[in-house]
Amino acid sequence: MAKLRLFLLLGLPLLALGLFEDQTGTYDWRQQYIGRPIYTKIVPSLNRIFVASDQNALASLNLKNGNIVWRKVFEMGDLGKINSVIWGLKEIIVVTSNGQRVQAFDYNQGFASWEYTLFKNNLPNVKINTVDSKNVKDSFYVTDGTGLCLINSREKICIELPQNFRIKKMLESEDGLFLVGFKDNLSRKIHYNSQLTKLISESNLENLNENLNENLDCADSSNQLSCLSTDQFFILNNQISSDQFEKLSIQPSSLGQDSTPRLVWSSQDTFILETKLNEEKNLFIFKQYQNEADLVLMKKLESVQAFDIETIDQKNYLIFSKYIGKNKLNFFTIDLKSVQERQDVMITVNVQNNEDIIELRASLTEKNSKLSLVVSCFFADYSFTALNQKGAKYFTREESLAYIVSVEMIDFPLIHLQEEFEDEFGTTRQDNIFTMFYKRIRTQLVMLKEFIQVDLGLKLKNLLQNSPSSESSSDIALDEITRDEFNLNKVIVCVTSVGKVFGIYTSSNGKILWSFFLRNTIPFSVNKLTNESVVPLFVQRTAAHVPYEPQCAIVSKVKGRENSKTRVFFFNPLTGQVSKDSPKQGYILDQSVKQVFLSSFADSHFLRPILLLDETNRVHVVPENSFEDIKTKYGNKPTIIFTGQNQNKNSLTGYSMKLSEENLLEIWRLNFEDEKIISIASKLPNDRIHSHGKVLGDRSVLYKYLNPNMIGVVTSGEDSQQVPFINLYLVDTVTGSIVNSFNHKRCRGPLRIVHSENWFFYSYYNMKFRRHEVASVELFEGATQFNSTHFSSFDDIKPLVFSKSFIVQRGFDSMQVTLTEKGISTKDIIVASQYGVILEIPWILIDPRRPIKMTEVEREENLLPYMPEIPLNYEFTLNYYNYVYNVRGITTAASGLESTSLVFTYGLDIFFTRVFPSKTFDMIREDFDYFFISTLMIGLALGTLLSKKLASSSNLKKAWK
Amino acid sequence: MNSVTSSQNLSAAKSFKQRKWFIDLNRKPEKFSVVHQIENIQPVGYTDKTLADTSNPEEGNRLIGMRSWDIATGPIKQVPMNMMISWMAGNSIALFPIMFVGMLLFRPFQSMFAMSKAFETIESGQNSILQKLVYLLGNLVNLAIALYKCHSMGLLPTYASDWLAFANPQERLEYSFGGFSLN
Repeated sequence: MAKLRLFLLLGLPLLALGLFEDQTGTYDWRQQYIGRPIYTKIVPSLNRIFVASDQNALASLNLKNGNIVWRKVFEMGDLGKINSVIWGLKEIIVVTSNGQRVQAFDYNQGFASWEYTLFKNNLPNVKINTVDSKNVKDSFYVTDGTGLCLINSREKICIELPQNFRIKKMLESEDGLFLVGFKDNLSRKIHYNSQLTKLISESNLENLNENLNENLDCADSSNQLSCLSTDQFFILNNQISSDQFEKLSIQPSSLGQDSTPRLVWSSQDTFILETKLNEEKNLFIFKQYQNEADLVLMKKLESVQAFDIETIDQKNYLIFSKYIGKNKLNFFTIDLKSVQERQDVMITVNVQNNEDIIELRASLTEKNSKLSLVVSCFFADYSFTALNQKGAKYFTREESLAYIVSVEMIDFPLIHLQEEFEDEFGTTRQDNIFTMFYKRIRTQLVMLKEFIQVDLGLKLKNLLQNSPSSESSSDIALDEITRDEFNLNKVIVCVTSVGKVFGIYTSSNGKILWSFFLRNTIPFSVNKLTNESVVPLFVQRTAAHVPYEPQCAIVSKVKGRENSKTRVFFFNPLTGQVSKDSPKQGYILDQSVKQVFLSSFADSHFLRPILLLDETNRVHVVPENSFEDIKTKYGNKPTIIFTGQNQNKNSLTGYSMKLSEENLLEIWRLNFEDEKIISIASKLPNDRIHSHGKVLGDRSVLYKYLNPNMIGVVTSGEDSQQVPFINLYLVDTVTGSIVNSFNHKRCRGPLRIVHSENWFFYSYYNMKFRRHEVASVELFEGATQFNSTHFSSFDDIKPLVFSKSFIVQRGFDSMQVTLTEKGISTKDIIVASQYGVILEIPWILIDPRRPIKMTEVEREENLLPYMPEIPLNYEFTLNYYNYVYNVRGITTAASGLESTSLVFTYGLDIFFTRVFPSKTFDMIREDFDYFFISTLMIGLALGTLLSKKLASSSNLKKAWK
Repeated sequence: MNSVTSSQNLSAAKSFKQRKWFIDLNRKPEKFSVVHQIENIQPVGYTDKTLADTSNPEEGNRLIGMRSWDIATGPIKQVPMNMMISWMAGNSIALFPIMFVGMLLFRPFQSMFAMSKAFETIESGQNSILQKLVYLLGNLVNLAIALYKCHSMGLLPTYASDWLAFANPQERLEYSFGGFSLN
């Protein structure tokens, strides 16, 4: 009731497009994330933790609760990639976009205070070395290997480095700046003065040449460079001002079995080496005594999770973490001067996830000669936690939600009396008719009781209390959630590329109902061009088949030798538990697979099995026991599996599926010689088509070409004059024939495409006019239907094709089409445009049948006249000021109301809302005047009764006269 | 009449003024005056003469025929009016045109069912079948106009588009699955 009232009050925007101010946040929510931190700094004095992530975000978090104080998101992809961060005294210096840009941000509010363009080279994966200058105040040295710049808020001084110089290290001493690297297979040292005005010297480093190795492992501290020569177990130590290295030898036996130790840190006389053996990390602390050539092993730290080094008052401390026992994570601090453990600075904390720590950052502060420690940990399941010295958790952020790759929205069961039903229907056949009758009656009585208690009771309570908010404040118990009246609340099952899986409730601001972590998950990489990776998620059985649990499956690669194994993991999407009678660690397939899909038929247990096509073109059915069911159901129906490749050869191949041990036969192949496949669009599996045709203005029907086997293949290439183009091929995947094709000259990606019913919609960039364009294609059979009951790809249908291109103001990051219960509402396009805005584009604007010259019939059909531009109005914006960045995907789902479609976008941020593509035709408007209508109705009824009475009495009087 | 008034003896002089009339049951019979029987009293305008019947029996039939033809052609006479109304109402689906169309549709049915009642008032003549037929025909013409009006307003499911929503989805004969090859 409360939900209904809330819905009626707030969920009914007057217009489908646009919200009122008071409607913000009533059914939509957003969660912001950062991603995996690559640079972290904890500032306990400011109560902040600063993070720069691999998702191109720079953020300041509140140390106490983990909330984002401010966040800057740079451009998607390489353009906004954070190459280096310097935590300056006053500002954060961020080098982005392969060293092309440097910006300074204020710690407090994240204001950009200054910005320079740096190196023009734009080399992919360039390594940027940075140094916070001590000699020049508030200045920073930045180099990308070809140039070197000194930057500060006032000026930028840039010089070119010698040609072919491959930089290894950059360090600064009182004498100036030193660059160490290789040139012509010789190790070189270049010395500049602090202002970069003068090249002081350029010399060879003698000893380093002997141990010449590109991957030379060097560590630097203030004015000393130390390199580890792995073959000979030497540490080459060098006071940077001199050209000579001193050799410091290590006992090889002291390092254990790992033959490739790494020098991770060095200072004046202390050296820390790290070895890795069987995923176990060990640290060795060496010390040099009185300039002796042999290093002494001071301490060996075994099975260290992660470590960090903090310096206070020129004293160095090593902070490392270690699991002692299960779930007990300990942080130890070692004073590197005395190599003694500081017992007073130690953290012990219980962690639930028990995962490895990927990154540890520590911050030590000294107050009244008492050290206090704050650490931040980033775990392998991508949860981000900060801890204080008392072992209390400040916060935990689930940063893996910035890496969602697959999403499904799952309905709740109608009732939460599942066990009762299981008891009733799920029993053995020994029951005789009387026990079954008894059970039936009992179940129904329980249902009645439940109805009175739960439904009526709650409704009454809500009515009396008149407080719909009481529900949201209370915690949600998982087993108490049932479907609401309009099936608007669901579980969003999100699979992330790191292997963590979440069940998110669509209501109450996206509360995480459950989560689990699948270790050793490696996503499949599809589409090498866009670097897209995917962990397929399938809904095998919904909650509708009551004696049976709902079931989902995740298919992924497993980390291991050559990563060639495939895992299919089954779980219940409502609880996040492993499915009954399925292996705990999932079903492991020894082959690697190249296609995974859900069977279109269910087996006798209403479970749709998963079909996998392995590298040798053999089909596997998982679970295996539904093989026979599936085989009989598929029978002789021709089934084609197609797979597109864009690595070595660009081709699309179709195989005829046979459910047997045999290898599949290739039956067709499309070779796109010089064109690269950049995208393949197929229909959403749960796309509902309500109408076969379009009703024209003269009331005749234009039948849609509803080929379920049609896909759109987008290729890009260059013609003989090096002019890029984009081609869209509409391919029938059963016959391998091309239904139609479209060519766009002087166009390139980023390309997004969606396919639904009989139309395609795609966006691209027009290089000639330097603008983003979209195009829509719609196919029709014509005024008559070839076969009204069946569709075969072998039918001789020549579809009529309509297509139109339009100009849009923005490029699109992601695109999806809305889904509704019966498919009666129009299908709008949801796009995530750059700059963080989610838009809903009405179909009427992109209809390819929009006529250039309007006829009477077309006017009758309510078509709009063609206009080249699609005005992306602000009213189309779904997320108002809740901008979401780097959207990688959009998922839509139908609700119980035909007018309403649920939209979930994921990327760096996640966002959920409802859309009404055909406006809210099946709901009462929010400005509906209940009082007026009910007064009117009651008044009319009373008036009728009264007038009836009056009339009869006056008739009687008349009769007496 | 006279006898009644004569029997009203106004003996009770005292109450004479107060009463219009009264019957004194205590009167002695000898005091009754003789009532003269007046014979051969005739109503006013009565003659004993017999007059010849000059009316024509054919004329009555003619009138009945005329009246029944009137009834029979009634619906047909409405046709131009109905056409006029239909034309005036226009083809837009709005409240008033719908009401007109409803009336147009309803009235022929109503009058067809009330046909026997309509002809009941008149004795059936020889032409009664023919008249009923004409009556029926007129109503059918009206009905046709109403239906045509419905049709032109688009209220009749006469086009394929009207049945489109009821069509079952096409069954697919072939299946296909796939996408980019997974690596």
